[in-house]
Amino acid sequence: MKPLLDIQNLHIAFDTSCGKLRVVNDISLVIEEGQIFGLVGESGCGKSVTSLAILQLIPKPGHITHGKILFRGDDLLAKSQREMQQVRGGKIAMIFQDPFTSLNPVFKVGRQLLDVIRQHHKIDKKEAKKRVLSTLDSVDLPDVERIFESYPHELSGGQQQRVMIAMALISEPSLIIADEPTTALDVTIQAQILRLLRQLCDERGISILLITHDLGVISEVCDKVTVLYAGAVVETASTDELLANPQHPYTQGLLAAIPQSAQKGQALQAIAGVVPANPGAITGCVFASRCPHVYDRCEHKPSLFTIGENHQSACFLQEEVTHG
Amino acid sequence: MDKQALVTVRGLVKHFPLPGGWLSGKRRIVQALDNINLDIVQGEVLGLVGESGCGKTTLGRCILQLIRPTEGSVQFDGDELTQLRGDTLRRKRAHMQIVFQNPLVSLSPRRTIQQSLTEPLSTHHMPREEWMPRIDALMQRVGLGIQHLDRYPHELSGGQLQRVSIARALLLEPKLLVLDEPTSALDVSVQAQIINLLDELRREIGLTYLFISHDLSVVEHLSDRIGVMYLGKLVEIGNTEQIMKQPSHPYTKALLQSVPRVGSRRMHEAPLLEGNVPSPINPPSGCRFHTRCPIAEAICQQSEPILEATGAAQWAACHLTIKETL
Repeated sequence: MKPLLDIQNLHIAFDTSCGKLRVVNDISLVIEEGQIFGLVGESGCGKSVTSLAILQLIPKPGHITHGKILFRGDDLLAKSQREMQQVRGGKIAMIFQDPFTSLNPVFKVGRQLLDVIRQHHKIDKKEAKKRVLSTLDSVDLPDVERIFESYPHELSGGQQQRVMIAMALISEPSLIIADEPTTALDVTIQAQILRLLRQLCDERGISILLITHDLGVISEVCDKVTVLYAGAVVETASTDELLANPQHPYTQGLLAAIPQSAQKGQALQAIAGVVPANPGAITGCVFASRCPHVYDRCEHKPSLFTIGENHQSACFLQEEVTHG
Repeated sequence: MDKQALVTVRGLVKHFPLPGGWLSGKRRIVQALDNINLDIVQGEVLGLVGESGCGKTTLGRCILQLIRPTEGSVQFDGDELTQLRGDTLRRKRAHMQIVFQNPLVSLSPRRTIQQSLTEPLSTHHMPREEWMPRIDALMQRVGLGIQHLDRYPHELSGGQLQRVSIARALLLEPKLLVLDEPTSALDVSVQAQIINLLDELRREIGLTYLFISHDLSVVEHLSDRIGVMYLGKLVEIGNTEQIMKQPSHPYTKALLQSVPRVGSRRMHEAPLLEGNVPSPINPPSGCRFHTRCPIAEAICQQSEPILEATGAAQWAACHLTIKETL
């Protein structure tokens, strides 16, 4: 069976006054049907721009320089803008970080949801409204008639994010891209939204690409994870495998830097140094400048080595272990 | 308490009247803080957690008198701060400093790092010949060099800027440092660097911190004691270990349960807190948590619980846990 989404060798660059800034370099990932796929990394690692690339929403002067994005075997990059409009919010929907800036403040919530339905389906008003109300109900919003008639500012942050999720669900997509969907929310609300996402995946078989900087969120809901660093994939594995058995020095560093994993009173394991400004210009391993295990081979670019079932890591150390 | 309290807060209330004139009838008021009592002991780190709008930032600012409280008293090092005005208050401020969440906003974009750092020294009339030695020493201590002094904020990374903010706060050798979400704008790997720095500084200089954050794991790592706030109320306070292992208040329990943790996978199960935080304009009667509390009873709607001991060094404001422990 073909995977739901197959990103192959994606490269993204921004043309700036200081030259070409290559922010995503050779990212490949595969999302299967009915799974929550986590994309984790620190700010500037290219996780958001990768997700925008899927729907061809990269802001200018950025553009995709190379690669393929196959959705059920269909190349999205070959589609025209008009064809993409049917894909966006249709088969693939998106939820952004801050629901308040994603909703239009001057229209009622119901009207905004109706717009989405009528963009994708030819159904009459009455039928459309019925569908909007049932979708609002399915994301556990109370008193849906009132919410339908509300403006975004009349709802709380959690309710707004539920409305965004309802908007994403309304045309029954196969894939939802959720870019930091809970970062702007409080923890108790975050837990509610994460649980809702998990339910959508389990009960309706919708795949979710969840972009986050928080490994705790990954652990709670994701089935599979890819760790990005400076525009490149450093490690991919099932969630349990990655957390129990991290192989790449960056993943190890990231996990060790989380306060909960350290003993109280002891210093946290920080990763020294900073993220490189233009990762595209680096000829060797992108993490070499901060890596505690750096050695002569790191001057070359490591490819992704398979180190187990569903586990790949881009580090020469792993190649030596697995291939002797 | 055996050690001396550096800060004593009693009956602190802060109301913000909302805009809207006499035409619209009754003036609406945001009850940001309601009857807060707490001590910050010399040399300790008191963590303050809670969700947005719970009043933790307002409390930090009311202690420093950056916001004047509506009622109540704040004693710092023997002085009643709420009574101080003008120059006397400004002189006191040398002993209590604050580090804000976003260093890119809290440092002037049009000044070099050095200009930003000399500002507090000149305001507090330090002799000019002491300026540079102090600045150099502190810059080194926070892990930066003199080469950074001529830079502008936009030329430094978020982690470096937060180091500058910490250096600026320490220039006048304060006793109390209020840290308002100092690592929330930073990535995990950089966050760890800043937390380590704060922990070292505190041990070396014997500083007292009020550490405000929504991130429980960071607070747990750094704090000796933790206070939990909900809708302008302090609902629980106690030793970090006790709060984390045996929370008394149902809100603390729910908060701890909601934090996503590496290695856990509970999104299939666990009954979580339902609903949203009510508005502080018209907070619920009785216990402010009763609208969301999983164990609420009739009494919770009628009377307001006060902080009572639930353990050796732990206090919670809940009718039902008190009953349980008696």
